[in-house]
Amino acid sequence: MTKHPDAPLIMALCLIAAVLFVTSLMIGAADLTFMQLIKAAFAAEKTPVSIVFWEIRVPRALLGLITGATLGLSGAVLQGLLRNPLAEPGLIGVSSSASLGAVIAIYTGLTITMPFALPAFALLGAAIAAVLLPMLAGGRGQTLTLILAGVAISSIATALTSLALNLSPNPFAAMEIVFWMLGSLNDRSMQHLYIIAPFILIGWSLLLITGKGLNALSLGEETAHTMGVSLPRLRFCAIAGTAASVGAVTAVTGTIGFIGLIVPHLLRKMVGGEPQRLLLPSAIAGACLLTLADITVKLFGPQSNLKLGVLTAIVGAPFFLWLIIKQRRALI
Amino acid sequence: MLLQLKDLSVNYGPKNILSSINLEIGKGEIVGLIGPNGSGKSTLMKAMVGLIPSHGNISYDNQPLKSISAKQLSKYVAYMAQERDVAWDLSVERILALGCEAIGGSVRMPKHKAELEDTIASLGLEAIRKASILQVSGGEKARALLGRALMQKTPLIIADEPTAGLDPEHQLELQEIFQKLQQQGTSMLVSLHDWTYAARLCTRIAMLKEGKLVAYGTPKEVLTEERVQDVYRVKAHILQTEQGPVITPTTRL
Repeated sequence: MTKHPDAPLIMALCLIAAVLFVTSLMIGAADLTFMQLIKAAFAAEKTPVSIVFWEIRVPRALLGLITGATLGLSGAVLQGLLRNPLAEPGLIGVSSSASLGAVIAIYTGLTITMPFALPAFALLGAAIAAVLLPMLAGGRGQTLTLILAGVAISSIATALTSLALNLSPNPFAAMEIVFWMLGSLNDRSMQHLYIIAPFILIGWSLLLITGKGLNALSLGEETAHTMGVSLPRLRFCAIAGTAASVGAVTAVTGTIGFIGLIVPHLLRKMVGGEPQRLLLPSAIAGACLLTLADITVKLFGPQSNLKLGVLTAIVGAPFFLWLIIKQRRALI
Repeated sequence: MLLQLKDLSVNYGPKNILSSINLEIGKGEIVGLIGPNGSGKSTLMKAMVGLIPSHGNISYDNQPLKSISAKQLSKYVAYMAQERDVAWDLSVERILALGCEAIGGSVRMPKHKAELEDTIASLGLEAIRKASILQVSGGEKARALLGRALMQKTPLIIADEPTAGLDPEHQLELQEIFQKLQQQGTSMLVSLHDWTYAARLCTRIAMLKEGKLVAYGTPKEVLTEERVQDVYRVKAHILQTEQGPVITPTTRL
């Protein structure tokens, strides 16, 4: 057996992710040195620093890695499934439905009495989208009908979210909804991670087994079928995996765009177009990119109130434009 | 029999697309599937591999298609779709390797690596093996996609209009490749529009008209001026030459 061709890239990405994770742990509102953090990490008793470390910084840094990995991985899988480089997790309506669920929880005031109603409702929203999608796309669920069904679900969820904002009982509730929708890792606890962990694990497992099927799908749906790929099973894994993992991270972080779109693009230059080879690097690179974005948000400081989702969109959109122009030049 | 169709019918709603097709393909045969546009050639091929629902019996090696999983089917038949679009920038070599991986192999294993090298050599793909499939010519792409089908090492290959869009040189090249495969024992079902090409390539020809199989036999039996006139609604002239018949449509009826 020869060495895996992407092993150096995967190792390099893991190293970058580790460095960014540690950097993220070191940056925050409280000015703490590396040694203080090391001591806090292994402190036998609770100290103010160990509380900051274990209850604020570690959950935030972990959530950054998990969210980025989820968005990168699901973006790569959906681009492979839909045979379209413009596909991203938001396209199938899961993110906007999760947002709608969260908004309903805020709008109805449930979040005041039950803080975990927000992720629970968001997960429910994602689950409803995942069930509706194949129903709308039809039994054979071809690419075009899947995209159209996703766009329809997204549009309905966005419209209902706007309605909730429009009818919001008071400006504070409206502000809370808007801030939540902008996407952030701020003030998330280990409890949030425990809630989403099972969904993330199931989602990632389903997404990671799609690689071989996605490779065959590069040659078209008909050819893939005769290459031993069960297309209904492949679609189930991709959609259910995205719904579970992206639904879960959206439930906790709000909407964070562009990571799922850009990361596979960046890596395609390095690993080539083969969908299977993109999956693992996309997950790790997504984790790196989101953690880097969150570090930037932290560096702006709490007084700036810059939201992570806003930063990824502001940096991501022009970057995507640049990619398109570069690709267009390559084709001329 | 490698492939057997008994009373095969396909309906789209109330519309009958194919009715009562009976067909058998044995080892080492090249069967040409011909008929005018809309006669049901592609539908028949898709039904054969379970891409569209059908009535009647389809069996591979006496195993009913309905009892064969997608995985098992990939070991009985390799299918070349009419659509040749490849979604991503893959090298020609990787396209071929996908065929091997479809049946659980890997070109990292010496046995499959040797098969890959043989297929690349037999299809004359050495010079473009590292090239992107998105940047090769139509003829090279057709050969690369055929190479993918060959790497599945199936006893039967079904190819939907493999010569479409190819210039005469590449059509003849493909004919030579098909004939070489036949000598090695591989069977093929190929849909074609060129009667002369079909007559020279195929051991048997199945002719479809409005979803019905109107003739199945040797090229000489099937491709007569009368039948071509009846099925295609054109007058045709058949000229026998040393290289085989030349069949030319002359006037529209």
